[in-house]
Amino acid sequence: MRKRPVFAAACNTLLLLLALAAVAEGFVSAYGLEVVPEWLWTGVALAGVGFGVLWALPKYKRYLVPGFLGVWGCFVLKFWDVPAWGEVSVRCHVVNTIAAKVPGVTWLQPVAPPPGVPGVGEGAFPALTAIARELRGIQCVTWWMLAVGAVYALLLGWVVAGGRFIPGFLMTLAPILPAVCVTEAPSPLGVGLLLTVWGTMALRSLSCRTAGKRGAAVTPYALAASALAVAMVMHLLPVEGRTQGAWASQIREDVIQGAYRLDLSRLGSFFGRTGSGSTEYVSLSGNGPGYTGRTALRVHTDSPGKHYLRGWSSDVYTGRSWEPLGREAKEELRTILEQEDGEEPLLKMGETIEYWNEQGIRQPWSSIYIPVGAGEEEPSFMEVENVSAPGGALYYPYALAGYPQGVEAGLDSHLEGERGVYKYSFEFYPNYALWTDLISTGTGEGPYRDFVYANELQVPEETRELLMAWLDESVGELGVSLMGVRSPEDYARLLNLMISGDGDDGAYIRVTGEEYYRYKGVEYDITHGLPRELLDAVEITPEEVETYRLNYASLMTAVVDEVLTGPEGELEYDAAAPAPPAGEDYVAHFLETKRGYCMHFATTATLLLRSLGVPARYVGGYVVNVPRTGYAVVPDRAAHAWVEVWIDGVGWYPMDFTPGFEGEGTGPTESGEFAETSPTPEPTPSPSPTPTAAPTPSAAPSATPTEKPEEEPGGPSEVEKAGLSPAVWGPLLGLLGAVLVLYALKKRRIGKLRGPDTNAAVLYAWKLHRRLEKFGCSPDGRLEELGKKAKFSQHTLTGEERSEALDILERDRRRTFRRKRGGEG
Amino acid sequence: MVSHWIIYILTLLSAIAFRVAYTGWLAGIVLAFTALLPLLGLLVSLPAVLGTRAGLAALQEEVERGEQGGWEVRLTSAPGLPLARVKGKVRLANLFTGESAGERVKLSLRGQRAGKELSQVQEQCGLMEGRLSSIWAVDCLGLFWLPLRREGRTARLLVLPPAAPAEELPRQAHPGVRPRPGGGPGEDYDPRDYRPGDPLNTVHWKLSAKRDELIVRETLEDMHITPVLLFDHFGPRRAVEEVLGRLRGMGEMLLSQDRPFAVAWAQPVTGELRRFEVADERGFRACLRAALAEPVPETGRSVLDGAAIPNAHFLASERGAEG
Repeated sequence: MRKRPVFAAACNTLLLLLALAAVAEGFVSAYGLEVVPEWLWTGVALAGVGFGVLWALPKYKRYLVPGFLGVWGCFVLKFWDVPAWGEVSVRCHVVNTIAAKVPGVTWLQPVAPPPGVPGVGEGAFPALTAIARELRGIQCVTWWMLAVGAVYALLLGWVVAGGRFIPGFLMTLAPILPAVCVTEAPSPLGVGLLLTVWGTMALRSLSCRTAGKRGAAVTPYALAASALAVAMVMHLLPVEGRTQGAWASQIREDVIQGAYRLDLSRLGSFFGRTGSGSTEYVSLSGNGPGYTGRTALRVHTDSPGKHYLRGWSSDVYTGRSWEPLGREAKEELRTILEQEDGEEPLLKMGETIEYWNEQGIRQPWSSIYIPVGAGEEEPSFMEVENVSAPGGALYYPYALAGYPQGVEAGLDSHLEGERGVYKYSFEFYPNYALWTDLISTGTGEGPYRDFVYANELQVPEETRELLMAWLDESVGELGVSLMGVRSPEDYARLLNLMISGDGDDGAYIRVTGEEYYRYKGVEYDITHGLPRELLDAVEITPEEVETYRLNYASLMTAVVDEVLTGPEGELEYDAAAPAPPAGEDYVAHFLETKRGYCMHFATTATLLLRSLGVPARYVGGYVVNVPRTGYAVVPDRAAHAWVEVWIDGVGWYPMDFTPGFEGEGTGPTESGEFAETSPTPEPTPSPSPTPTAAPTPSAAPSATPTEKPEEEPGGPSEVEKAGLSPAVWGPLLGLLGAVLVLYALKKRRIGKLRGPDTNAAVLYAWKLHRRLEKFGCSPDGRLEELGKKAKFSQHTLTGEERSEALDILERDRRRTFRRKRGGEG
Repeated sequence: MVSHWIIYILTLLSAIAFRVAYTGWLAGIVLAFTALLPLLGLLVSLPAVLGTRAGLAALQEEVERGEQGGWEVRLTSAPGLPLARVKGKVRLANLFTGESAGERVKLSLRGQRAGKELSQVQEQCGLMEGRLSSIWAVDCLGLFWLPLRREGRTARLLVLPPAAPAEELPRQAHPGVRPRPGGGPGEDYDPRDYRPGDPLNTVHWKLSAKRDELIVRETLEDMHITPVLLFDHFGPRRAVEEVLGRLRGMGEMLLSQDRPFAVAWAQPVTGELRRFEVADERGFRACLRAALAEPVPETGRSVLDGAAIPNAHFLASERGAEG
């Protein structure tokens, strides 16, 4: 029997030794540290054996642990510079390991030289000094590892001695976790040792929990089995490179694509996407499109060329985002659409209807297409597969000949498909007529039109004023021809003015060097353009306004296109345009910086048209250039934003106000099917970006790391200030203190229960039992009797009575905590 | 055990998720090792399981009805390896009443020995037979139950009826005297002629001188009757227990008087006579054990139906058994 504690201690010591070796090897290899091997492994061996023995000692621990900590503290304080520099170096290695894989993380490098070595450029022999610096640095790193490792080994030794699996697992995983998170694995030796240690701890934890120290007897078997299993697995499986199996790769892709397809924009602007697709809520506060090169869509069509694939449209501009209509407006719209369901469609989203003209010839007619000349036209088809495009809406081309089965309109903003179905075939008419061919057929009037005019002219007042002022500045020569027209009413007044007759009672133009215009007996100075008061004086009727609205819209879209894309506006396309500062309006920032991408142009165009009285809305989606083969892979780079303009009698007409955007699509030009070398990336080892509003904070849109900037130069004081910060010391010491306090309390309790005074011991046991009653333990009559006897009678309780009391206490304590854990398995 | 499976399945799912998310070689190794863990648990538990023997033993050999009696499930491990959880089933059968019951037992083995007592107040007489029908130990991961080897399957506990006050046997005529076998000293003796082989110290020299032929003293002893206690081994259980209690009382009284006796009853079904000659306590216990080991039917063949047994005293039940 006496040999058992020694055997258990030996097992625990061996396990601790292995654990420390595993962690040391894993830590050094994962972060590419250079250490002095002899020092490190000697330290590991000493710590493993020393602390293994310490925690096995029955009663000297309470003196040795504080003693060790005291000595350790003195040592560290005396040679503080060395481990402090080592900590800086280790920290740099850890950060740089992450920086090598995660874009946007800054590289670090210690500036100050290791203590006792001249700095860069100092010293008589720079080359030798450099070598000395490197060696000294390695020593400092090793010293740091030994210093921190000593306390770590003390704690780990306690965990191992207690047979606790989860704390042990977490303690041994924590040092290498940051590296693993960025797919930087430790060396195969380190991994093998760690797995062996974890396996051993797991296999013996149940025995240690139930049998206490005797449970350690399982350790040799567990160790042998784990080591054998690890060796076999590492022999059979590859231990380098990327080895993800096809099934795992497929699941990973499916999960990532599913995550990308989600529309989390409803949860808040944090989850809105910027430029990588189309969502219900569009956040405008990101830095720029965060492209990953991922495939968003796959397209197959019999109509090669450029196509706009429409996603969501957005109606409400807030200054920092585009949002859908409010609840009341949606309810009103739903009512309108339900009332008109089955009647002539309202042409809400670039749809078509078929009608027969007077000659009885069937013709497709859509909101954007009026056939020039008669004739039947067969629709083209397009199959769109959503691979990882977000938003939850379907992406479809203009102009649809109908909805595929299972597709429904989401009010008037998007199309919805069936859950889990990501591929749809559309019939559409790709041949857009030019704007000039568009004529109003007089349909599209009624409640929906009224709704559009009531809801799709919304612009914040400050933004409106800003846009009008900017338009006045930028419109240039075009503005002369606009002659101050800023609304359909102005336009009607202008036309009335221009077609009014001559004579004193009418309006006529008289050029006399200075230009005047007489209207209804009043002469207006028109030398510098048409004065506002002249326009206001022209009488118009609502019917005239409606009559001219189509032309007005045509005119204004041309004006807006000209100022946004022409030289007068001085606006440049810049995919890396920065986000507006917090609190600043998106459009204001764009007009100030004069640099932006599709979202800027689309937003500004939408708001400008609205300010001019033309209903418009912001639309997101993709633009694809389908090659001759008809197959195209649409990457996320092809995301785009444009505008839909309401044309009375026609419906929503798409217009692109972004200069020079051609869209993107790849596919083979000679053969069919999707290109094998599509931009769909292979499952990459780097963490995949989750759908967030603001992509990487770096200015560049790519994910490659930048060159390593140096830390702020600090000199020697930098090293002095460096080292383990209070944020690390504090919790470490606090944890140690807590452990010691708990240990002391436990020893005190045992001392009271086993002390020479049996009456006091029984009384204390009774008191502890009463504490258990808070956790649902029933009072014990016998223990109460013994307690009262101890308290009130003059008898000295016997040893048997004390043992009986302690047995009752122990029994009920176990029952109570077993009940708390849910009972035995 | 369910909780352990849940933990393991969650761990395995985590390893699979790690494999899906992590494209490097590390994830494959971790997944393979995690998948092997249950097998490792079984292998590591084998030495403990194979080295442990389970057995059932009665806490006492015999108790009286109304006293505490029971069994102990014992585990002995040669290698001294722990077993976290052991569970088993003990079947208890009362051979006298025919009733049986099962008890579940749970214990753990921390060293080389462990035991769990199953003790209760014995309300019924009879020979209780306990059997360890199954015993299992959980593996070191808490996932699988492994059977333990059993030794000494059954254990017996005799529950005796309380001894009733002893009854007076009916008086019988003195049967007389007879020569004591083997001779020896004694007050009563009968002279007879010498036979070759008689010890010389038995020669009555005075008479022999008178008669001029050898006369020896033949020591005489009183002849005793061996009472035979009869009872019927059928009827209401309580009645038979009461009879056995009286039998026990009378038997102990006779034994205290150094009087051997016999006990006889008829096997209720076959009518076969069962007779026990009781000369000491051990023999009496054997007789009671045999009586309490046979089941008691409601009806059966009476011992009185067979051939008459001399010197018999029938113990009738006061509860209305046929007397």
